[in-house]
Amino acid sequence: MSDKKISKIKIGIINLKTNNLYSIYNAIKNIGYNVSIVETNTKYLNYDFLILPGVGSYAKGMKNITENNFNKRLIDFILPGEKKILGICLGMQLLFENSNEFKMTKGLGLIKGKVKKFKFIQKTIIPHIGWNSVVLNNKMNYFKSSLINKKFYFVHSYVCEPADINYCGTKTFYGNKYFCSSIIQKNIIGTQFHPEKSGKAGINLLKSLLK
Amino acid sequence: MRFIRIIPKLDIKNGQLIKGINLEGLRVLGNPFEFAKNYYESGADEILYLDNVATLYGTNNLSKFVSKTVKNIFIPVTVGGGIRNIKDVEMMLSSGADRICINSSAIDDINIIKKTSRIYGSSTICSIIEVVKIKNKYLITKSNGRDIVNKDPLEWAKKLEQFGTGEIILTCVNHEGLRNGFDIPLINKISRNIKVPVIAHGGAGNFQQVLEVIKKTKISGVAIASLFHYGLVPKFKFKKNRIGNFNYLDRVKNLNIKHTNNLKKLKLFLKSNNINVR
Repeated sequence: MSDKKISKIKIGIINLKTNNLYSIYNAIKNIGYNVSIVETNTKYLNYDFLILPGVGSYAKGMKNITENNFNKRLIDFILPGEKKILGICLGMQLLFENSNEFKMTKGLGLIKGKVKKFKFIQKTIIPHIGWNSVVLNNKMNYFKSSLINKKFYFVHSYVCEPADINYCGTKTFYGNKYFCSSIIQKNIIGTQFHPEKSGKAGINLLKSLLK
Repeated sequence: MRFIRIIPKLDIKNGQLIKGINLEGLRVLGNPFEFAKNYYESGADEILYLDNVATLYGTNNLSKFVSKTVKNIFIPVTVGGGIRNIKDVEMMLSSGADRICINSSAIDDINIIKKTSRIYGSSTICSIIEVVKIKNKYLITKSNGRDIVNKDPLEWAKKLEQFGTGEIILTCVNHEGLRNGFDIPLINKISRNIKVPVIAHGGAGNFQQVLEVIKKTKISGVAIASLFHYGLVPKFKFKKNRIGNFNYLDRVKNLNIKHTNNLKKLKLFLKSNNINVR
């Protein structure tokens, strides 16, 4: 794809209000793309690539995403399978069926599986804050080169448990076991880590995802 | 082996990077953006920005700094100083901060920790505990060391954890800025008795001391100011508004000293001692 074509990709970042929009916005700008903020009252999602970033609690995130029936328009955007969505951290978790953070909350249900609190041996520190490595779980060709031997930044207390392990793109070791640190289900991508906060490795990953 | 974060701590006053001793006697060191950018490029795991006089003056002016910083720094930025309510937290986060740290206002009313961690997730809400040792007794302080509060640091840490804080930055006021090493017994006591990550701050004078505090305690990271800042001071020119104590800066500029990148060197040193750092 030529540079000219790439720059025409319409990228939108969904504003869930509890998000830190600024860092992902700056990261995409820094790579050289045009990007706009998508409010939840937007009627027509005229984008090629949407990013659902996330800081905050699951319930608040879902509350904001269901405002103005935005969740329905988002599902309509994703289901045909032509356009991509990248959920980051809470954004990845919202793609799943439900979460038991504070109370049981229904998610977008685009990926089969649940979000659960880390359960570990007693001594493990939660939240999992900091840099950690990822291990490729399957033939995720377009993550590959930008992931190997790199560390990414994680901040979370809850983890995604996809029903179909084949959709788990990478796994990460924390405490005494692995958890699913990214997912790819066709056009739906999610990272538990923050590529926009992972230094040069994260910027390179975003580059390869947006290509 | 646990992973250790190395976090440069930048104290800001009047738009300038400053540094004191025992949180007092502040001197101007330079332009915070230049330092932050250098730290990002040198492999810092996070940037910690603190507005030192925010609580004292009832302000929080860091938001414009934060938004300028995150334009070209792609690592987490944690911001503190004068955060009093949900609105302050929201403003900082929408300016580009990733995490917020709170001290004084939690001492006034601990419910701020519960409220903000419910909304933004506990991993977004960090607590600072400033510990001062008086007559062999540990107490905590607020307003960046200005007011002593009669609370036991460990009890306070447990309470913050119970109310939902996601991390504790433990500042040892007596050791801060002296570069004589960390208060290992205190850091040990806190880091071994709570579950959330503890970041040690106050006393890093050389690489050996940093290694020691990592090995002897259960901390998840180290926040460092003097050891990093003073190495870099000779690197940058500083022409901005000359408000504050410029004696040190002027002296260094006249001496023509070469700068050193202590962050890069520290990481190499820790790696060579089998510490898991990025």
